[in-house]
Amino acid sequence: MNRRTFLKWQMRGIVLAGTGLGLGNSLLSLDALAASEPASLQATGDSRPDVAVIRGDPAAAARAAVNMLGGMSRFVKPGQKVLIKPNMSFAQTPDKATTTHPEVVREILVMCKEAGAGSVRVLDHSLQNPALALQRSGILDACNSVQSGICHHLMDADFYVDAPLEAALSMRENAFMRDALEADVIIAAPVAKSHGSTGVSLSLKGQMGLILNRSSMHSRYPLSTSIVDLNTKVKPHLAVIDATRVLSTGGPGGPGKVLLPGEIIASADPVAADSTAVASYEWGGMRIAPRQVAYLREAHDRGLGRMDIENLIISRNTL
Amino acid sequence: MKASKNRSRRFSTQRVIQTASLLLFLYLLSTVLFPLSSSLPGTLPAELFLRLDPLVALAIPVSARELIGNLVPGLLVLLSAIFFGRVFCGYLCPFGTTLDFMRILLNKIFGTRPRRDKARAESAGPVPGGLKYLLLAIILGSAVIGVNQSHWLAPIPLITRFYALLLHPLLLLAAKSGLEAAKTLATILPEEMNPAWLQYMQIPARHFYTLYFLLLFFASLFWLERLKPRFWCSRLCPAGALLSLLDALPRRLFPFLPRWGRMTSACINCGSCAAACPTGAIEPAGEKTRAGECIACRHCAEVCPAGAVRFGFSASSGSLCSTRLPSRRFFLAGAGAGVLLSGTGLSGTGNLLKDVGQGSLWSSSCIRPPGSLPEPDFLKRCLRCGECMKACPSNGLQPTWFAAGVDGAFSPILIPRRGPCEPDCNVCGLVCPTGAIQALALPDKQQAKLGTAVVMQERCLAYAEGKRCVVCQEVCPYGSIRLEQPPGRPGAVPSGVPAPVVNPVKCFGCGYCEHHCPVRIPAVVVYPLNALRFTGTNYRQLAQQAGLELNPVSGDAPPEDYAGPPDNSAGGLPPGFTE
Repeated sequence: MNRRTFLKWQMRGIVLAGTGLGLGNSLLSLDALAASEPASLQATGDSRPDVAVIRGDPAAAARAAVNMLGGMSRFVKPGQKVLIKPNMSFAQTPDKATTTHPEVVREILVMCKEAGAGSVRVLDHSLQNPALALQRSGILDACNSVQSGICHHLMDADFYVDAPLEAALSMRENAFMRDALEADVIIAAPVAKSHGSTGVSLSLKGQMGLILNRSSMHSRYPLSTSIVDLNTKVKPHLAVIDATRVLSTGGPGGPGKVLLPGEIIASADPVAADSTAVASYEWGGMRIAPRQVAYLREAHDRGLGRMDIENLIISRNTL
Repeated sequence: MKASKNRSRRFSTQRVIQTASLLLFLYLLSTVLFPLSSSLPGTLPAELFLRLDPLVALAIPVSARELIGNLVPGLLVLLSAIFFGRVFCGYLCPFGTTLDFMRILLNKIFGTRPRRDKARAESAGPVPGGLKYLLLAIILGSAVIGVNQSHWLAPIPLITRFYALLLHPLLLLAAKSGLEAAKTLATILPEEMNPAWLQYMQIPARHFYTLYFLLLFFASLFWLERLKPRFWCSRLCPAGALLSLLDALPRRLFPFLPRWGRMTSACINCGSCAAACPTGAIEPAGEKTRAGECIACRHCAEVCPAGAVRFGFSASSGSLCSTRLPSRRFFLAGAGAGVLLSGTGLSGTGNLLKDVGQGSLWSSSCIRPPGSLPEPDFLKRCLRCGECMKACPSNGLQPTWFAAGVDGAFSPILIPRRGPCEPDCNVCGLVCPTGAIQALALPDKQQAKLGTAVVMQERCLAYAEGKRCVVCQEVCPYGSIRLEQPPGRPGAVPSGVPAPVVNPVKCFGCGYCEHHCPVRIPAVVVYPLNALRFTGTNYRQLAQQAGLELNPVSGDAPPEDYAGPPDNSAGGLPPGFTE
């Protein structure tokens, strides 16, 4: 038994214990929850995995995955501004697997509030009719059940401000969502799906919803390079990938083959999270390696994160 | 004295009813949007006032050669003129009310012009307001040979377009400026007092073609209001002319037909009423009313020093009405002019845009709303009222100048680059008052194919430059774009880059692809190719018969078990991945 396997086993135990507590917690008030969660059940220091993969109900799995990484309080400090970027760009119901599961978004939102976030926003920039997309994805209702008025599609150019991308290789400027530039913490909450031009759309690709002019990323720059450029500016601090359903083909808009792994993948390293998602599921009936996704390869090479997941600690557990 | 008179004017029965009618009109117009509200008061249709237009009710069924049930209310308005004259114009017509309010507003701003109505009334030609009869005759003459020209002058469609396409976007623009100011002001408040709903409030912009026409048209009329109140109503409006005829003609044949209207008793012939009458409906001496011109606004009763004027039913119309109408020859000449005008249009090459036969022409940009009747029938019915354009959630439905020929001016076309046709919306057909766009249930609307997208390979990023894009496939709500990985061109375009291919059988022509194409001059364009244009609402059956497979991804159908793209030059990888 090497060190990694040992840690995996250890994690499994922690998650199971944490889950039992989590179920009981739902009966308690949020304050009590935050206060009562014993420190020993939050993964700390060396014992944290790089990537947590949890199979279970969408909300519980999202919570458990974040807890494995050290809990939301590792990412969100009291009073901070948090931006959650789900994928809610398509006016489709959750079963189509083109939008993030509303329960996942809600659980992330609740965890941010538990961690004492000063403000939390759930924002995207829709491709299809924004009102329909908010409604049909179920994400607006899910967010409103926690706090109303924070979930929006920002379609108006007034919400975007021009900003340079200092570390870019190709796309050196664009207009960014003001909330994204001002956020202390950005949490990417994409659904795992295939994508016609980039292979997959996950947390790095999903950040395209934070800018005004997406066209230029296709027409003016090499797409893969500009996706990495984009993430030099608005790289998520935490990626929670919703793989409860995976759109294996026909993405990102569908229709396509929907897999039902029932998993949530979380990591502080979005490249590692995306790479884990790529390696974990079949895409178009095939097994794909992270290096076969051009923007992941480039993100790895440019030091944005790691796609060599074989060298990372990935903790897989089932609730 | 003057003040009290003004007050009585402001709260007169007519003003109150006029204002209520205009407010109802504006309220109903404000409900014309997606999703269509089902909570209208009672069962009032959103397009109620359009159905009341008497000219529309007569001219459209004549040109379409078909009775149109929706327009029966307009025929009732028409018949009401036999007993009530132009009461519709004085009380209900939102066009007339708008003119009244604009006149009051402009007079407030620029001061009242000295009135010369009395002199003008005396010097008026033999037929006051004869032009409106000529315009009516031209429109009806055109309708008789099957050409709809009513949209140039029918009052309710025009005023609907004024509010929906010209004023509404301006108000949105103003509201947007106000919102920006409010947001800026709110930033100086403490954060907890700066509500999120305000920070994230968005007011969409609406843009339309042909606005300069509307501006010129209405600005002219508003300016004329200052020269002569109700100039439009008394001199130009063909619907008013129609009501005038229905008022005056029966009385020629049956002089003792009872009629509600203006009556005088013990008139002192001072002429004050004739000078005050906005429509020139009173003979200079003040006693006689010109049938067909009076809109029952009761200005005359208010100014009469002898209290000699009252309104009510009377059988002795002969003493009250002096009927002055243009001659029969004048009407026939007008109708002849209409026949000649529209006949010229019919024989013009532009008319071939409506045909589908050999040698006919085709407008590549004339994409009609879903469920539109076949083109000739469509143009015979379309009022150019703008309801469909007001309703269109993407702002893609636009009035065209000449994409449908001169005779199709201001009719609605979809401009997908501005906004695509939303798969889950069917509002344009539901609010169309004449059925030019048929009211379709959503499942039928989703089969009412508008056209077909065509990829312009010479400028498509994937084909021409070998770039990774395929946004068209990404956004297609019908899943009609599949990806192929063409071999490329050695030395110019790399191989294996996913490139879009449209499946015409699955393409609705909604234009999501064209709308989102990142190429400045879109590299995927919707043409009205294979559009389904049928009379009837069972588009599901029609689409099936046409071999179409139109399935919106958002529908209830379970996600299909998609087999993936065929093997190709990229070593059989799914699209987007690299070796």
